[in-house]
Formats: sequence, C-alpha cells, structure tokens
Amino acid sequence: MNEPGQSSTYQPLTTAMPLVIPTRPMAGESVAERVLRAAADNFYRKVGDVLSAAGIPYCGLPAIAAKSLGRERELSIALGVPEEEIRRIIPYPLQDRPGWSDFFGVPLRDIHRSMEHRRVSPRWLIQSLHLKAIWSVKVFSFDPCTKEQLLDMCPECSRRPTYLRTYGIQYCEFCSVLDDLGDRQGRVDFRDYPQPLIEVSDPEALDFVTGLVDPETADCTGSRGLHTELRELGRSALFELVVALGLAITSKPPKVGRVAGRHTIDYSRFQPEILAHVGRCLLNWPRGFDALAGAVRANSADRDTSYGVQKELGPLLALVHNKNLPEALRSEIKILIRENMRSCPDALELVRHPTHRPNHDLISVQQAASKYRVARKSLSALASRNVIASIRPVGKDKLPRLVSDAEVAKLVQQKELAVSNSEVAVRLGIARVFVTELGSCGLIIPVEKPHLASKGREYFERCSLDLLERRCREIARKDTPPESGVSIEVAARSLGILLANPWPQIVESLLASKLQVWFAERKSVMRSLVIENIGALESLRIRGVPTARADAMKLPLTDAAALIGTDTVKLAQLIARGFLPRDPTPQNLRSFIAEYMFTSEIQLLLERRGMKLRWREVPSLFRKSGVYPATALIDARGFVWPRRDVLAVIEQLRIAAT
Amino acid sequence: MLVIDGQIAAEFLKMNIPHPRLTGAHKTYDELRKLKRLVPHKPQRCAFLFAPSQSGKSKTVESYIETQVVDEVIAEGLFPADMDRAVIAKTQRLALHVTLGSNSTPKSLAGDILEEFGDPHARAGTEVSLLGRVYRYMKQCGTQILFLDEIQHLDHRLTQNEKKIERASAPLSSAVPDTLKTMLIRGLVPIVFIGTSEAKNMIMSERQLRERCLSQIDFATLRPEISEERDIFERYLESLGVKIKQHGILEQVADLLGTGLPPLIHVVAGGRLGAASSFVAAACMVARERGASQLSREHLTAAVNEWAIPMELIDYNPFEQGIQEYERRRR
Repeated sequence: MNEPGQSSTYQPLTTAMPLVIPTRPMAGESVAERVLRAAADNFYRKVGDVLSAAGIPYCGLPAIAAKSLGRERELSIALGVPEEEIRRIIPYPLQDRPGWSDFFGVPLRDIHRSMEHRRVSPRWLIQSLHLKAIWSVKVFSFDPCTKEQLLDMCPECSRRPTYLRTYGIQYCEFCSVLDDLGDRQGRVDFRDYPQPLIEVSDPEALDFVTGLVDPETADCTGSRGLHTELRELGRSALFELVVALGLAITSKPPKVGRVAGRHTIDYSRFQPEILAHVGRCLLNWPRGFDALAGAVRANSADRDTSYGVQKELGPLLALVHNKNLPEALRSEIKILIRENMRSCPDALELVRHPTHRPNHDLISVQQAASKYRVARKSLSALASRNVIASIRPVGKDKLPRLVSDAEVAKLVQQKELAVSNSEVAVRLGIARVFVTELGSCGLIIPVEKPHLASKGREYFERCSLDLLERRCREIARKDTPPESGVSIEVAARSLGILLANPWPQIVESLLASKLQVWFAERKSVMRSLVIENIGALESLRIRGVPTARADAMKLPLTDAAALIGTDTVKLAQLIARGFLPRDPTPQNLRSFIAEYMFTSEIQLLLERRGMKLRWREVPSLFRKSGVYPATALIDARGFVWPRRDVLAVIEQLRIAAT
Repeated sequence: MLVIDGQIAAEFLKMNIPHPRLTGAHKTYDELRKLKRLVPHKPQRCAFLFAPSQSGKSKTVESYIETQVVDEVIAEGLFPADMDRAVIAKTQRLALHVTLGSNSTPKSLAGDILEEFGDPHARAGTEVSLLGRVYRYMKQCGTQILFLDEIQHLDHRLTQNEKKIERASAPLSSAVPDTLKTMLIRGLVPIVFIGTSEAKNMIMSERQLRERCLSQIDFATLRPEISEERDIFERYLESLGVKIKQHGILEQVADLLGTGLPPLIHVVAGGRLGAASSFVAAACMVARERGASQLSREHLTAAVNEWAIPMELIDYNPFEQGIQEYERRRR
C-alpha cells in the first residue's frame, strides 16, 4: 500500500482554477484577445469571469494586460496554456521608456493601441474565429491579411464593441436575443457584414509598413532591402518614423507645429494610400525622403509663414523635434532637410535669432520668468493689461512675447519690498483677520498691492514689519522666563474678547513698556515673547478695537473662527448644524455670539466672579440648574450654550454667594 | 465502537469486483451511449437505477468510468496512456458522474453539473444561464452520458415529511421532472437517474420521463431464496476474500465461503453487496488488531458486536445466536 505523502510533487497553492474549455493558442492574439476568446469559448458573458477564475481581482477596467502583469502563472492555469505563452502575448511596459510597451517583440507606443474598444475584420472571422492584436493598432484601419477595412462599431446599434463583455467574439456585445432556452445570445453576427477591401497603388510598400509591427507577417517584411541606416534602427523606430512622416504629409496647411504627434493623434489621417506612400519613401531612402520633401514643398504656399525652412518643409521639420524618434535618425533627417533646402534653387534658408532683436533690453516672457523666478503666466497677464510694455507681431499668437527687462526688474523689486497680510500674520503669530487694524494704528505701514503679488488682499511695507519685529524683541528680557510665564499669544486668547481685535492695544502696551516680557526661542514674535502670567495681560484692561471688516463681508473660515474665539473645525460644525450660514459675515457672527456662548467664555465669566472651575466642571454645574447645551460640536465636548440662560444662572450663583 | 482504519477503507474502495448485476448496469450504460453516438442530434433516452443505500449503485458508475471510459479516452488519444487512471477518470468529460447536493433545485442541479465540469463560476448566474452553460459544455466536451446520483435530493419535501413518504414523493410542482426532461431533449445527452427507492416514485410519476426510459436497472436487495441471487452473493464473497490478500490488507486469502458463513454475512449485510464489503472491512480491522494473518469466523463475530450492531445494521449477532426464527422463516 502507498504510504501517505509518497505520491505527487508539491504544488504551491494558487487561487487560479482552470476553465472548462482551455484556449488553443492562435497566431496574432495578445492577452486581451486571448482572454476575451476564453470568455466566449467558456460561455461567460464577462471577461471578468475569466480573470476572477485566475484569481485576478477585476473591477471593470479595460486594461486586461495591466491586470495580468505579475499574474502570468495564474492566468496560464486558468486558460490552460503554458506560462511562457502568456508571457509572450502580454505587451509588457518597457522599463526605461514610459508610455511604451513590448508588442510581440517590437517596442510600440501605447497611444497607438486601442485598449478599450476592439475592431474586427468580418472576412477574417469567417476564416478563423479569433481576434488579432494588430487590429488594436490604430494606425491601421484594415486587416493586413485580408486587406478588409476593420469594422469598429456594430452595424445595427452603432456602439463600439469592447474587450469587457461578449456573446462570442463574432457578435456585438450589446445586441442580444433570447434563445429557445430563455438564455441571451448574440444577435448581430459581424460575419454577416463584410467590409470593403482597400485598394492601394503600391501594395508592396503597404505590406512593408504593416509588417513592421504585425506579428504574423513580420518575417516577410522587405526590411532586408532597406538602406543600411534605416535597417539598423529596428522595426520600432521605423514604425514611429512611418507615423511621424504620415502625420507630416497629412498635416493641415496652417499647422507647422514643432511637435507634431506628441499629443492626440487623428488616426483617420493614416489612410492606406498614405501609409503606402510613406512605406515607399522608406524603401527608397534617402531618395524617397526627397520625393516626400517635394510633395511637402508643393504645399508651401498654404503655410502661414513668410520664408525659410518652416515655409518650405515645416511639417518635415517637426520630425527633428520628435522625441519619439531616435537621436541618430533625427540628426539624419536634419541633414537631409538641410541638403534638400540647399539643393532647391528657390529656397531661402533663414533662421531667426535673439541677436537680431532691435532693442537689447527686450527679453521673452519665458526668459524673464526664468531670470526673476516669477510665474510666466503673471508676466503674460501684466503684458496683456499693458502694465508692462510688450512686443509681439499682430496676429502671431504663437511667437514669443518680448517684454522690457528693466520694467520687469522694477516690478520684482516692488514685490520684494511689500509683504502680504498672510505673511505678517505668520511672522507675528496672530490671526490674519487682526492684521488690518495693526496697519490702521500705524504699527505697520500699508502699501498698494504690488503687480506681481499673487496672493493676499492687503500689503504692508516689509521694512515696517521688520522694524516692529525688531522693537518687540529688543524690549524683551533675555534671562530665563518665570515658570508661570505664558506667551502673549496664549494670554491674548484667554482674554475672551469676541468680535474685536485686541492686538493693537497689546502691541502698543508692549512698545510702551507697560508689560514686562521675556524672550523665548520660537518662530513667531508673539509666541516668542513671554509674560509673567495670564493676569499680567488682563491687568491692562484691554477691550479690543472693532475689526475693519464690513458687516456684510464674507469671511474665510479661519478669520471667522478667530473672531469668535474658536477653531475652524468647530466653526465648520456650527455651519453644518445650521448655527451659522455658509461663508459667515461679521453680522452673522455677532448674532451668533448674542445668542450663544462657548464653555471657555463661561469659565472666564465664573472666574471673574471668583468661581475658578475647570472646563469639565462647567457642564455639570449648569445641568444642575436645568441649563443644557444647545449642541455638542465634537462628541461630548465643544458645548455651545444658550447665552441668556447661562447668564441667568451665573447671576443666581452670584446672589447666592452674596 | 470499532473505527475502521482509513487505509483499509481506502483499499476496499479501490476494489473492483465484477458481478452479473454490475455487468448488466454497464451494458445499459453502453447502450445509452451507443444511442447517443448513432443519433447525436436527437432527444436522448434515460435509465433508472433505484436501490437501497449500500447496494453498490454509485460503484457501478465509478467502475464503469474507471475501466471502460478511461480505456476509451486513452484509445482516442484524449489522455496519455501513462497518465494516472484515477486522474483521467476525474478529468474526462465523456461520462459525467454528478452527485446532487441536499435540497437540490433545478438551479443547484445545474450548478452541481457545472462543478463536475470544473467551472470556476458554477454557482454564478441565473438558472437559465447555468443550464444553458451545462448544455453547451456537454456539447463542446462531447459528453456521451450523464449520471445523476442521489436523485432523491431533488425533492426536498421528502426529507421534510419523512413520515409521509408516499404523499411527499409525488411532486407537487413539475419543475424538477420538467428540468430533467428538458435535459434529455435539449442537452442531447442520455441520463442515468440513480437514487434510493424513495426517489423512484418522484421520477416514475412523470409519464414523459417514464416513456423515455430505456431500461430500469435491477439492483434490488439480493434474496437468499433465489438461487441466482444467492450465487451472485457467494461469488462476490469469494472474490472479496481474494482481493483482501491482493490489496495487502491481510497476508492470506479469506475464506468467506467457509462453513455457513455466507448466510450469516448475508443476514448482517441485509443482502446488499456494499454493506457486505463494509462488514468484511470491519472484520479485517479486527483481524489486524489481533495480529492475525487470515480472516476467521471469530473476527466476523467480533465485527458484528463491535461494528455492525452499533451501526444498526442488525440488532443481534447471528454468528453467536444463529439466524433468528423469523429470518429463517423468511428464507
């Protein structure tokens, strides 16, 4: 008898389960087509069923290849094919080239492939019921084998089939019919809708182009007869050259952009005849390039430039700046363009250069932005508003705008001399809403907003702020502060002054040496100045000055919170619970304070009447008297109390004490 | 109570002892498959196999697949000849042996069949979509015969009203028989319905199913008064004794046809071959515990006391007390 554990080798655990019907490998399929066919063969409606059988979580995203990365073993188990086969058909992203993938051994830009929608060749499906990865390459609008135009939408419902669902790869995934069992079946069979065959004048050149990326016809491309320089580039670079040349010769006349094809590409421009034309150019390289240049030059009259290589061969010049082409090829094209221009008797090769500018003070906005470290957008806006003088030919919006270097320098200096209220608040360590009154009291000097300033509504002289800071710190004693000492900022908060600004009076008292302060090493001024205790500030009987904010002015949350002596979290809660409107105004805050109060204020009032309580003791005291909070802002804390009731209780307490 | 050693139980499960009833069942299966091959696109026929538990119903299917079907799929080149036959039996799809779960509905029936196919999403979908997938898989995999075992589980009312067997086994709803009938017609695959005697009424009450039956396989309890059936039982015991040695359970062949043993074993097993095998397995366990090299009457006697009576196969020990009067009278 066999002893337990004698038989079978150990298999690592995997969540993958094989499908009932394994998929036979078919030529030209990538992983997306293979998975879709597996779903169809196994009578699943959704591709996600195949992936989940492989233990791959799937949330309906179309990138099947991306989902398969690192899960090749599981997918191979589910599909019933060797793992090497799965690895062969996955277009892996190239490590050193973002946006590129390995398409059956040929590096190909992802932008050229449609990962979301599939196209089919009905005639091919009649021959063999499988999809081809080459149909996903958007450059080709036809099947390289049958030369049939690809069907990219359902002939009946006009919707574009995807890689996500299927009633069978030959069916539209949206059009269905109930069969005699009551189950849904595909209704529109693409094989019933054969598409026209394409006709080109140069089939050999077209086959050469398709063979650059088509895994099925790759071996029979004419690359062996290519010019040595092109042959060494490899199929990927040649295909990218085909794309670039195709875009160049089909570009609309006014467009002479330098980076053709970098962003979205209109793939309908790659008609088979165009591809054949470009293919012939490559096959006859370098003479083919001259022929192509001749065709481009013939349209030079349509281009909206005056002279030079842009006028003559502008679309081809775009290739020189095309980063998707190898450096060597771009250099070669540059040389070919130059030689072509020289060989053309009518061409006038001129280049614009900064040294040709009439005034040396002028620099481009780009240069000014870089030189002074300011936003290019800001400079352009100032130039548009004529704040700074600028020059640009009328109607030439794409040309650089020139501005005066000296004027920009002046604006930059103006900006550096001013300081925003936000910065003042940070440096002094007070709320931003209290900065304005410091300016009104002459403690810092307000100035106009500099043109290059981007944030903040109010500005002050930087030197006045520096002076104030220095004076405050000079007053402070440098020895060790007392143990009971608190920073002025903390002491100011405990004053409980609502809807008024205590800081002008505090700073004036400070400068008048009415307060004895010690210096502690902290970032902001008011935190670095320490007074003996909280009572030292209270003894000054500070009442605060009214804020300069208009009653109807909407306040930012931080400002509003500072005015009623709370924080933004609690203020947001108050707004959420309807105690305050969204974007509260000073008027709203005043109404709120008239009706409600926080525990901190109650504690202060009680303390002034000789009852020193901790915060936690306040609620129980008032609950005993039948006064309950109107709401609790954070769990069982942050109570908001009805002011009238609280004041009545405090009054009773005072009488009782008396 | 005696616990039968796992190894011994496994070896008994591996045993394949041919007998006339098994051969008869296999012949019926062959005929059903022949019909499928000759008219693959016509509605197919079915066969019934109803018998008490431990009669060896499922064993007929397992032995059929492990011998005949496995040989065929190897001959057709679907599996390599050197592959483990047990693995082939499990993975082949020519003959599908589906054991239904308890309280089966038409949907769970479809799910059970899909699970047998190895569908990772056997339970996901509607009843219609699951059944549709079943039919397509059977067509795609070339399934020639479907064995639906424990068919009595299809009628869950039977277990809820065990005391009203007759009433409960008459199906109130026609959903289950309709599904089975549709499987014969749409699935285009012959079906063998296997179950206990209780399921018989449910299946046989449906006239259309009854009329599609090719044969009702006889697997009832073996009666000692019928010489042919007694002979089947004795030949089975004889083979079992030899297999005990062949499978390395005990060193010597067991003489189960010894003086007066067959009637006693027959009484203990209730005339069921599967129960007889289990009883002998328990006796082998006793023999091994006692270090014996051959199975003897003492071991069988002890097995009745330690295993058969606690298992409620019988309520007395015929090896010690002799066959009781009413049993003898019945004989």
